Amino acid sequence: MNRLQIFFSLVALLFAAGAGEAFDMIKTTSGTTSGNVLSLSPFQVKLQRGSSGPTKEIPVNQIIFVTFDKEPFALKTAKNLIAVEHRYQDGLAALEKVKPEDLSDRPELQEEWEFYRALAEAKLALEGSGAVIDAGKQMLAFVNRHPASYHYLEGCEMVGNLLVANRSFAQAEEYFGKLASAPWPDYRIKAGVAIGWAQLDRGKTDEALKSFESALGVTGGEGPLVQSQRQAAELGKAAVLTAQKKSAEAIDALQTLLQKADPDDGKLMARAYNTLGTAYRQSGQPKEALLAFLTTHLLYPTGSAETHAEALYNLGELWEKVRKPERAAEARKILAERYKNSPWAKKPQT
Amino acid sequence: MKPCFRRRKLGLAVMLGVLAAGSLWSRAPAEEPAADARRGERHQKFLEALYDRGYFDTALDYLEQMRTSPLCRTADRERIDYEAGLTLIRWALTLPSPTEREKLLDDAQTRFKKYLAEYSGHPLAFLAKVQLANLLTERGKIKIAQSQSPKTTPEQKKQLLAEARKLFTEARRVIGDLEKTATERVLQYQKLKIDPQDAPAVASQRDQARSEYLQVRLDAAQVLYELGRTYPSGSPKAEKYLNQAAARFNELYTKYVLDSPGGLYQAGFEARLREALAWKELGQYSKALRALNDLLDWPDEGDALRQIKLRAATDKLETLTRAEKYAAAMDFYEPAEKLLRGTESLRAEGLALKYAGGEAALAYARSIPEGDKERAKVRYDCCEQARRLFTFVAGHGGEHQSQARTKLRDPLLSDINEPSEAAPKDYFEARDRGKAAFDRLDLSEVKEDEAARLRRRAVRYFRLALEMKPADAPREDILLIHSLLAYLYFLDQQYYDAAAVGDFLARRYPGSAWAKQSAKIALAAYAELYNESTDEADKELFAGKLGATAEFITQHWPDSSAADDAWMMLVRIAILRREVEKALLYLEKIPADSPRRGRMELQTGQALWSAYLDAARKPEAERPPQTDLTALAEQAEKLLQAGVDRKRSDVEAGGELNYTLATSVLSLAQVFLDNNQPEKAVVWLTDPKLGPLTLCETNHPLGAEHPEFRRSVYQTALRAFVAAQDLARAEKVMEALERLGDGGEKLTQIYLALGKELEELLKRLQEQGKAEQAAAVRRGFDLFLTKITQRPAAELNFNALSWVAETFMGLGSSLDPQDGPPPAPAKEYYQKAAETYEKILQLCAADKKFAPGPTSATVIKIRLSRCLRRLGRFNRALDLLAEILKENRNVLDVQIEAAETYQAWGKVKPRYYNLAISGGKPVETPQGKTNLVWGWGTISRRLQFQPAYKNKFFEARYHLARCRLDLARTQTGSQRKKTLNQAVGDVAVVFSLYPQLGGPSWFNKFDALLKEIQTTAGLPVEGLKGLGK
Repeated sequence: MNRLQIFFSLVALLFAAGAGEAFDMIKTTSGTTSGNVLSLSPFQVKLQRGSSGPTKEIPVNQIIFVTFDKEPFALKTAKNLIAVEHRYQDGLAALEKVKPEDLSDRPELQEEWEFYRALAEAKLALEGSGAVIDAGKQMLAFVNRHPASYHYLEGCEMVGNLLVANRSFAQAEEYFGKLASAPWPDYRIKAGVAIGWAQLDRGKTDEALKSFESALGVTGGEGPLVQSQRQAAELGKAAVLTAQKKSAEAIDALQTLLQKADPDDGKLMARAYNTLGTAYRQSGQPKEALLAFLTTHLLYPTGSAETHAEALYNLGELWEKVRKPERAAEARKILAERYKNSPWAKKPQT
Repeated sequence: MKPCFRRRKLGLAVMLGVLAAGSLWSRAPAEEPAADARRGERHQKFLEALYDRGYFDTALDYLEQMRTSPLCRTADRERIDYEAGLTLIRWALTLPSPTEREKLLDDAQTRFKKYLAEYSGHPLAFLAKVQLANLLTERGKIKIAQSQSPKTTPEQKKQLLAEARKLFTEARRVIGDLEKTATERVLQYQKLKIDPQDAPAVASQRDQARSEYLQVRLDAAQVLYELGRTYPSGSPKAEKYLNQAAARFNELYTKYVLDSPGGLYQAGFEARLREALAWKELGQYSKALRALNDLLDWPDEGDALRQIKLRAATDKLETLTRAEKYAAAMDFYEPAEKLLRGTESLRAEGLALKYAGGEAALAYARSIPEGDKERAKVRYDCCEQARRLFTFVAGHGGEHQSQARTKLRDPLLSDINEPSEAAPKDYFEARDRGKAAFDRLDLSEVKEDEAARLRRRAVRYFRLALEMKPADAPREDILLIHSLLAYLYFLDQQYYDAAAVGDFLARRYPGSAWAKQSAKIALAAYAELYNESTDEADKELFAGKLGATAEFITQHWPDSSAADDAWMMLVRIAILRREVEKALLYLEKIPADSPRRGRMELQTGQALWSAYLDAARKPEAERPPQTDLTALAEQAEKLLQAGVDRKRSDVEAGGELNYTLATSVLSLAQVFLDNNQPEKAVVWLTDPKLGPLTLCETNHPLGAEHPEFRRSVYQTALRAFVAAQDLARAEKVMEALERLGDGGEKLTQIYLALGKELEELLKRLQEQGKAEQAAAVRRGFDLFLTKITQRPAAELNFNALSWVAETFMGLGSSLDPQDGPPPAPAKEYYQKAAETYEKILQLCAADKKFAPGPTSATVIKIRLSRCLRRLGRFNRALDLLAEILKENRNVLDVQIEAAETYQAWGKVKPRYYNLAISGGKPVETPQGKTNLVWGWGTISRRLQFQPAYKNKFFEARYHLARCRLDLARTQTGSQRKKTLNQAVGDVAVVFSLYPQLGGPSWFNKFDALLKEIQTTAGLPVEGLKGLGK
């Protein structure tokens, strides 16, 4: 064999690599880990590295994403679009391309497909571009069919949010209550906060206050997740004060909260500034209210669709009050164009 | 004297911009805790958002609220009046009325004075004084503008100019005092010899002082210029002040651009621009043009210089017009317009340029007498140009909008007709003339000049027709005219207008016969605008418009070819933007039986394949999981196969084989190769009708027209035949590759790429636990490569030997964890690589023709030095790099290699960490002793103000601190403590200058490094968040 033949025959080995070993992958808040998923439950995912390696239990509250081996490409694409990029319509279109036979290799794949479909519909409904009731039914069907899924708690939370959007507050509380069974403080606090907001939306300020205080009473656990939830509970308490027309106290509480809250926590900040704006409106300070709602609109428009719509609605009124009708018209136009299905777009101006 | 409204505003804008950036040199913000820094950023972001929307009044309300708000930082509270002053100035810039402007400037003055009264010792106090002085200048300029108003009587003019003079004189006095103060401060700092690493806060203050000094010098020269303008043009006083201003500006340009050893400063370029204005005012147009051409000749280095160049282009047009060099102005306009990028045409600088172009054209037209038959066409064309440009400016808001509208009413622009033609009597005649011109465009013998004239004629008469249309004009007729106008705008590359008209027509009148055509024009126009954009935000905008238009077309005309075209365009754009999922979604919208489906499948398949290759080559931490990569490859294969199958029948029926199809078949072969199916790859490569290798071997024109394609084909074929064990054909292909020649550099790259692929494969095999397979690959390569190097010298060539050396490096690298001395097997391969590199260098030295190009030996030296570094032969490694640096010290990559080599040496002999930081290899130069090797310190200093090297700057700073830490670990006692403190300081300095640290990746690295330092030093481990407490 001449030198070239030796070389080429060995280069052939270059291309005999073949596909890698199959494995599942879990992206968590602290990195990515891979292996074989042994079991799933609402609280944890058990993973084994290699066929005889050590096992690891990963709490669900640390999981961002699970990719299963043999997952069809379209499903992976859809999950990425929905969970990471928040492009729900495109995600649904990608899910439509998944063939049923592609999901038959593992039972988890069917679950994944169902959950992400329901999640995308739910998110669209909450943004105002889908039907809340249909989305709610879909997610409810998922949690009822898959009580052992690692998506179970997220699904319950989503059902709760949809029930709130549908003004079914009592039922919403029931589903938020399921989060309280989680072993992690941040989930228990989150449950209390969600129940509190649902009660507040029903006008039950005393019960809401109790729920927020109970959430703040949850002990154990530190770190950014828990801290964020505690601040959400404090915000809830401030919102109760606003609902009770104790605007001066509410303003103080909110300013204290805003000093220590993470400026990059868009969802919290948007809600906090809206609540502050409402408190200022109640106390007859339209310019301060304007600045608060403007902060939501200019700095935190992606906090949530609901809070942005609320801010735009209030700006439409407040700009008129300070005699800037063209700015009011601009705010109303954005509200009508972007959030046409939101209750705020349908609410008449006072 | 022409009113200088624009100049004044831009002058203010420049002043604001410079001060807001705070940096004509560099000005580092003071150190502060990270959490406060974020609140400060939010405060600034909110203010900027309000300014962007023109909510200046609300910005002032906000600042007042902050005065007592617990949410306001102390640092921001102290600045409230200063910020309010700046807000008022910004507001003033937007107002057309001088009276309103003056009121706001009065308020601004009050604010700055209040700020100074309360915070005279504050860091911004000096700048506040500068602002006050500049306010005097601005008010003087308002007086000048008022004096030039047609409504001003001569007595009023005299009075206004006297008031202006008084203001400028006062400004001059104030700025003069400030200049003295600034100069003294700068001189004081110069005496101190400050090392930013040892004393970051002092260095920051020094930079601040420099920045203020430059600002004041510019302002001082500017006041002289303004003073000169208060005197009659050509008078001794005017000449005196304007000449003084020009000289001072020239001094700044010379000192901070031409003779500046440490780098170029924006202030210097700004000074040159203002110098040109001074010469223009003096009527010395050739000097003005020389200065402007100097600026225009600079390469684009950063956004700030680009903006100055745009202003210089506008000033050049104005100067040429003033100098009555109209033909030169017209010739200059076209290249000047090409300076505008993306949506700059719509912004202030673009509109100013177009307005100046319109004025030049109009002035030229006016200079040609009406009876001049020889130049009647020139006159006509100039009017057309002027009309076009003023129409554009008038339609887009901004400072010149109302002036452009006024110009459009100029009798010269409204009355001019074709040289030998009377104006049309009515709508029908105008319409018919337009149609006649449009119809003639269709004729094949029309040349481009004539076509341009016909288009202008058609546009002119269609517009006239629309102005003259009667109330009962048939609607479809009118819509047709609009549609034809949209098309003509498109042909004239006025894409904004084409898109606006086409889009409006289609959406407003979707039932019209012209709606579909108009929508297609809008689609094509948006696509052009997308292609022209360089700014990502603009691209996003136009991609969105394209999507919306495509949706509209497919909703209204779902079965038409227009719908297919729309989706095809979107697939193409998604492909260009590497948005694979989007491309697939759009592809699905093209019906399976569409004749375009095949081509789009091929293009999409190729895009997926490219995406796969890109992703597979990423570093491990960024690479997607193997399952994802496999899925990408599978999808690519599926689409390519589908597309090729569709197209095959066309070719077999005698149709032409095009480039898209040929490259798609090549990609398909590559997909099979990567999926370990070399036989299938060979089948496709050698297909008698479609095979790319067949095309190359039969000298098909496609191969000749696309040399890169041929190279790829041979490369792929080489891999395929080898993998398929068809060694005879593999050898033939290798010979064909060698014959491609091209000086051999490209062939070297091909071999290097093959070597890289091998390294990546071996790494993947290791990661997948296939150790035996990897070992077998290595053994085989080893045997073969060694045989090549043992061939007689006459049979060796540079390319093959380079590849051998590179492959040995790759083999070694695959076994080297890089976290300490290499293990023995890796070391063996490195040794072989080094021997091969040394052999190449010897052969290059013995025979000048051995190396394929003039830089080939340099590349080998760098690779050899890397190899020697891993082998611990640091001296030789550095000697090689020093040889390169002796020729050219400014080769950054080599400087970095040298610093890395010292750093690696430091692990063995710690004293070399110091050289890694400060540099080594001292040499004598005419300026004195200096280090040939810069070290990380000097590397970072040289890169600090160069945005293109931002990543390398952070890399240098990181390694600098790293060296310090590693050195400290070898020390004890107070020496160790001192070094660790310096390491903390290294990180603190760069953090204070750039709190974002170039993004999350570097932020995390610096954070982790600082924590390591703190752990080693026994300090609280707080990382970056704890800095400043």
